[in-house]
Amino acid sequence: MRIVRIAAVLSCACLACGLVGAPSGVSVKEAVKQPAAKADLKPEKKPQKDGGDLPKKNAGVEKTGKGASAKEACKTAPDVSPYESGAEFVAVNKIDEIVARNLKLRGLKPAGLSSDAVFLRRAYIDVLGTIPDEKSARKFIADASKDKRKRLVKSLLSSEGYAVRMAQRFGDVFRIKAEFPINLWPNAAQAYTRFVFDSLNGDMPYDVMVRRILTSEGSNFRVGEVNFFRAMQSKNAASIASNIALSFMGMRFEKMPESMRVNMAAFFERVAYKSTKEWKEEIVFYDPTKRAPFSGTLPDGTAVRLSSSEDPRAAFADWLTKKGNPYFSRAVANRMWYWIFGQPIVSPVDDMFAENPPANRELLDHLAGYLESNGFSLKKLAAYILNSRTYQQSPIPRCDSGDARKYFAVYPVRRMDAEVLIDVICKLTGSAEIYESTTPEPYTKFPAGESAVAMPDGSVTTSFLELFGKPSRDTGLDSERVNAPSASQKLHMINSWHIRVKLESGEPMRALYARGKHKFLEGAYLAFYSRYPTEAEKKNFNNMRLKRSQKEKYYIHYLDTAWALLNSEEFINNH
Amino acid sequence: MKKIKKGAGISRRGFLSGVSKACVAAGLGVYALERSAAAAEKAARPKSFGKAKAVIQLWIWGGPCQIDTFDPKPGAGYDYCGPLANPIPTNVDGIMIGQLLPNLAKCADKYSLLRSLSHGQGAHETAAYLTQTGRMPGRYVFPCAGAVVSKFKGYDSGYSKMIPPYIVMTTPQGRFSESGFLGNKYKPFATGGDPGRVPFEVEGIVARGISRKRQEIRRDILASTNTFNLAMASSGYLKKSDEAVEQAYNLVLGDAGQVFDVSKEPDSIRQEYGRDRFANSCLIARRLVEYGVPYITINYGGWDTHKGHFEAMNRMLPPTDKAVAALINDLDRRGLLDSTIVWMTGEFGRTPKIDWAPPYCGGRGHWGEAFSQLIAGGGFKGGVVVGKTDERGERVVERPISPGDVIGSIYSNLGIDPDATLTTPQADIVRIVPDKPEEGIVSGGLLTEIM
Repeated sequence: MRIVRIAAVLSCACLACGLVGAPSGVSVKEAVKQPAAKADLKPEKKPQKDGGDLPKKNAGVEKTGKGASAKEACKTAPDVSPYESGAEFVAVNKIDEIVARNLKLRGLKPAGLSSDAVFLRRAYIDVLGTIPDEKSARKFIADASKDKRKRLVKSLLSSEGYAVRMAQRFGDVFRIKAEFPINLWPNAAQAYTRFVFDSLNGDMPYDVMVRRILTSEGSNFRVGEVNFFRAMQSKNAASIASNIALSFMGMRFEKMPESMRVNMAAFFERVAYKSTKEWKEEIVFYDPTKRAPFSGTLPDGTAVRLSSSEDPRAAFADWLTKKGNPYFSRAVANRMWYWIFGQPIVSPVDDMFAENPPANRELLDHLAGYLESNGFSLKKLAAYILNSRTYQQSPIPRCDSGDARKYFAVYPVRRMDAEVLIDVICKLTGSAEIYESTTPEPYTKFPAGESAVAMPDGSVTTSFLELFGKPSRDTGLDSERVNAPSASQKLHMINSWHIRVKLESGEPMRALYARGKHKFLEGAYLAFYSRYPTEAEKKNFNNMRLKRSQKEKYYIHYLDTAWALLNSEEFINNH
Repeated sequence: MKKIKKGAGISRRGFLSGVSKACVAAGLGVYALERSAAAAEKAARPKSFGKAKAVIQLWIWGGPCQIDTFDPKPGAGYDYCGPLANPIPTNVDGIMIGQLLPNLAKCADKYSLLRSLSHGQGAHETAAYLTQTGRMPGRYVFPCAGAVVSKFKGYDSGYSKMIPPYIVMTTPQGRFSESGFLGNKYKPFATGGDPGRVPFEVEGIVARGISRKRQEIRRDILASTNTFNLAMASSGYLKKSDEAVEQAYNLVLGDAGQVFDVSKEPDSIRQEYGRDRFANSCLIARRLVEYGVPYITINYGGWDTHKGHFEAMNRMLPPTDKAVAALINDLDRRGLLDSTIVWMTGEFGRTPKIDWAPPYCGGRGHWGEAFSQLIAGGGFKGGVVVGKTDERGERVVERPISPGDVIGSIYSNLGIDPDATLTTPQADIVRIVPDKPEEGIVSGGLLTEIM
């Protein structure tokens, strides 16, 4: 409640003083329609911020709590130094040029450059699904070399963690799940995840990967990718086509014209399934009894004629993965941009159709072209995005916050994914979760310490993961993942036994508490936030301690401070 | 156990996708028809429509045995009854139930038994889904009854209590996502913790050993750990999160948490329910109903008794009998039974014929052809047996009941029109319960005999 009050007071106050660019009464839609009016839309300039300075005085709770007037709150502008360097937007690659041009046209001001610490933390989350440890944070912040961000990107992308995190994301799209309603069964879910992981880890060209999936044959336990043809409730040609539309074209099958749907499904009429003597094994194969000359029509209208020895799936895969196919590389470019940057170019990321225009068409086309001209390497595309100045913006918008997010004028703050959040908490506190799948038999138990991001089977879940919106992988739709905050989530973080035990008895936490009053805070900030505390924060820590009775030891104060860090927005959000 | 009737399953799926295609093709026409049918039916609503305010779902999963509980078959012989061959009379003439249920036998006038449930499914996950959604697997993953109720009776519909409208003790089901396509917002709040212990530490709500003063100091520290909040304040990105924190603290520092505290109950009541985990869960469920929560699920596993079946029944049925009877009687004494539905079911029953051969040595397998449910209160009449199975309890011979019949009846008693619709993420409009039986399942319609 208190937090809300302060935030409200501050934002009202600032708007009143004109510190922040107030919306000038022209709606976004109007602005787009009337580019002439763009000058009016330009937010007023923010006061110059000097990143090198010592942290400015904090409009802390003490002061505001005692009834600081709105005017006073305004005088002490919020301290943004931990989050941005203050440098202006300078394009470093073509992404930036395109984004900057678009922002200029819309009269939007890009955000400042993120601080090293903020960049480090977000790159870890976006690429690996975890946060750096204290040591890595110290090292990176201290590193004075100019190319340190570039080197970090390179090292993150070459670690296995990249493939683990990407396999989790593709796993959501592909519905990799043992149980109801997808029913891949555990062995098959694991084999499928293994295929996806290996492909990404070796940076298999994306067109090759998709072609392999679409033309696969064999046992669900042994040829992981055949499970693409099994991960659906009704195994028929229309379902297969629908999955291809969603997974590889970023489109909703049901929105395609009827004729296109029928034509697309026809390419998959000859996929057949048979069981074996091994329990739950299923062979996916090209049905030899259906061998016959094939004539069909591809989604772009091209007619296809095949002899009876050819598999229509291969013809479809050839068309789909061909360079220049607008349905293919743009779809994956949109997803990669979304996965790394956090805000899709076409939104929702899996609902691309003519009437749903991209926020920046040129950017989408450029990324798709970049992917194609770099051998369909997803890693290269990821590196390209991560190294852009656009990605490296601060999370603090310098113009209308909604537009800033939509048009990439800010790095979008969002809660860490459920799996990432629990992994990060476990990593910080040296604790582990128990992951198991108790249906169907035989039970699947994972070794202690296995990470949630690395779970090869979407059926494996916990109360925590459910609470924080892990997708059920029933449909493959991105909307299944819900990162919106809820009171129940806050209750769990604030007050649950589950989290409390981790904070109280986790080995790294106890070591942190044992460091003593001069070293605890710095270590804690580096561990939770990947940055050093500001002077104001150090002062606040000491002031809060004075509120305790003499009897209460430092330990309790350390513990409660760590608890507060864990519950803070700076921690739980990827920024 | 591991066998799904494959052929049958596929043909059903095929049929279903056919149906959904037909619906898509007919588009709005079908929808309009449905609406007019709904309007017609409104005139002929059952008397009990809208009588209930809450549901306590006793989800005894794993597959509880119908023969040993609510559908005894003493005439079927030892191979069917084993050592539990002496069912007992109840306080309603002509109704007999299993011998390990003496407490429930004394209050049969307060509940009805549905003996002719049937869906033919032998796989836990499909059956669990079917029993709680009324749907066969198909194009969508439908929300289960609790999620539908939390949509129609929860925060979207004027519910404003601090405790969430859909509670599960203690863990989510795991076998399928309860909220289906409705998504995360309608998932149950899982209490975690162990209701068998006093105090019951509801995850997030009740924290042992953290004093109010310390909670408040913590909150102050949290409020002042705000450099990021201040930097982001003008963006509004954190507004929803701030609101969620405020709501959470209303619950942590308010007294709503006491609803979960069975030690507030007189000893006689504790005694009546029993003091084990399930008994306390039942008592807490009653307290949650009093508080105003519309849907509570008690997730009570351990009924998948392939081996050692009779040992398990002897161990598990007596305390279950005690707690369920206490719950029904307690609700009744407080005048809450009229507005509270108690619904006790598993996902299927167990094979009537006992498997004496190793490795089962007196076990029962899965049985979806015929099984029983208990339903009480909230507008449902007591003292009635609906449906009948054959002399061995293997097949339904009279008045078939489909899972959708039960769920539709529950919705109706809650005042939720069974013709109401939901919109899927794919923008299709679907009914909350099927308007015709899913293929392979026989429906006898809403439970009008007890409404």
